[in-house]
Amino acid sequence: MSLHGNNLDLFEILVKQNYEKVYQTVYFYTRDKFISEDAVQQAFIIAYNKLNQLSSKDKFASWVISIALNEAKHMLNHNNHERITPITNFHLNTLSYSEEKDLDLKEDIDNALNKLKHKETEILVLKYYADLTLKQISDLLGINLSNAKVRLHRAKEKFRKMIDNEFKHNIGG
Amino acid sequence: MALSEIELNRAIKDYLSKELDKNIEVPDIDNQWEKIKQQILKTETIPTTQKSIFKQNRVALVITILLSISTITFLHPNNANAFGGKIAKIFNYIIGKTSNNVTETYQQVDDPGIPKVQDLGEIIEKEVSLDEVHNMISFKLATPSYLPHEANTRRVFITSHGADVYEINIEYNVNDKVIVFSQENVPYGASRGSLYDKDNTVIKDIMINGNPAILFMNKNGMNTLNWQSRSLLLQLKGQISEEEIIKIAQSIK
Repeated sequence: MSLHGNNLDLFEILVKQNYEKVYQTVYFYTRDKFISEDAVQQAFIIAYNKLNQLSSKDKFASWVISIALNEAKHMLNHNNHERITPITNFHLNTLSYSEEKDLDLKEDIDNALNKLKHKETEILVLKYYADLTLKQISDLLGINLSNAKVRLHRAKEKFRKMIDNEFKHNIGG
Repeated sequence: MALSEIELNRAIKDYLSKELDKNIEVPDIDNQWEKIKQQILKTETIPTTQKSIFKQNRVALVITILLSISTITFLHPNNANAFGGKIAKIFNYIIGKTSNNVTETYQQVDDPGIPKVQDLGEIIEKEVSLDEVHNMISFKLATPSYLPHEANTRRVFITSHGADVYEINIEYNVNDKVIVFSQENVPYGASRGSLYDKDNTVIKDIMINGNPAILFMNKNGMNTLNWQSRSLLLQLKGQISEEEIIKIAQSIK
């Protein structure tokens, strides 16, 4: 209702539409439930107060993710915690697909990701799940833009080759 | 299996999305939203109550003056919520095509003629008792005579919007759920815009005690009912059934 009531109602929609994606990205980065919750909470509060700085409506999720990751990075540095556990450490065997063809492709990709270095998986998550720009990624990872481009290119090519190899192997087998 | 660049990008994106969905447990989003909301309310309230204009530096004073001028331009004479509407446009822009906007306009029968510009003044929200609310406001507080029998009053908040305009939020606990009943006096009529996610929300036009009302039913079980009665903008919100929310609303005189 009224001034902040209306804005909060609208912002509630934004938070609920985007919370899952923001939290999952930050958790992937920190592997710490409490830091992730705090960082995401703080990011949405900052976003609410700085909404007029958002350049494009399509970028809301990645904007909040970049704020949250920076908050998380600050918290991790402050607490001197370990961070980054590659996605390949998750329990991949719990995944299931309803369609057989999806399952085949999925198995190929699972095998592919198991062979990626964690830095390569990390940059794929930041680029393709979080939709961050290369500039944001390079700032976050503390590497220059060229290195970020190279790392992303290598990760993608490795991913591609591994899928191709798995596919050929399956056809051959 | 030679993937094109587009197919490769899509394969990576799809895979990571499914992988993170499956393996990362997300906290309860409603709970998280409540925490975020409380922090926002806290940060919005503290500066207005604690800052003294005499303590601000010259730059802040200039900003204040500029803001005041801007505020006047945003105010529509007949619309107590117009300034909020300006900010709401930003949200509308972001949420974009998955949202719809519904506007309700309430005009008083005894039109006072030239509408008055509302002096927003200081916006202060504080937790109070129901007795304190009665002593602070000049209009008759609307309260439900019917509530589910397990309901009890959780908290009451009053927000002063200046010029004798108040918003009162009464929260009720109903088992593990919360119902929020909000009311705001609008002596010169008002327009209320409600933005909702049309993919997940069904709306219904109904009547509450002879007044038009809009019921927003979200697929997460959250129902919101907006209506107006005797110069009050009213809203009931909570994870309660359509029948129950209407029954409570009809008991509010």
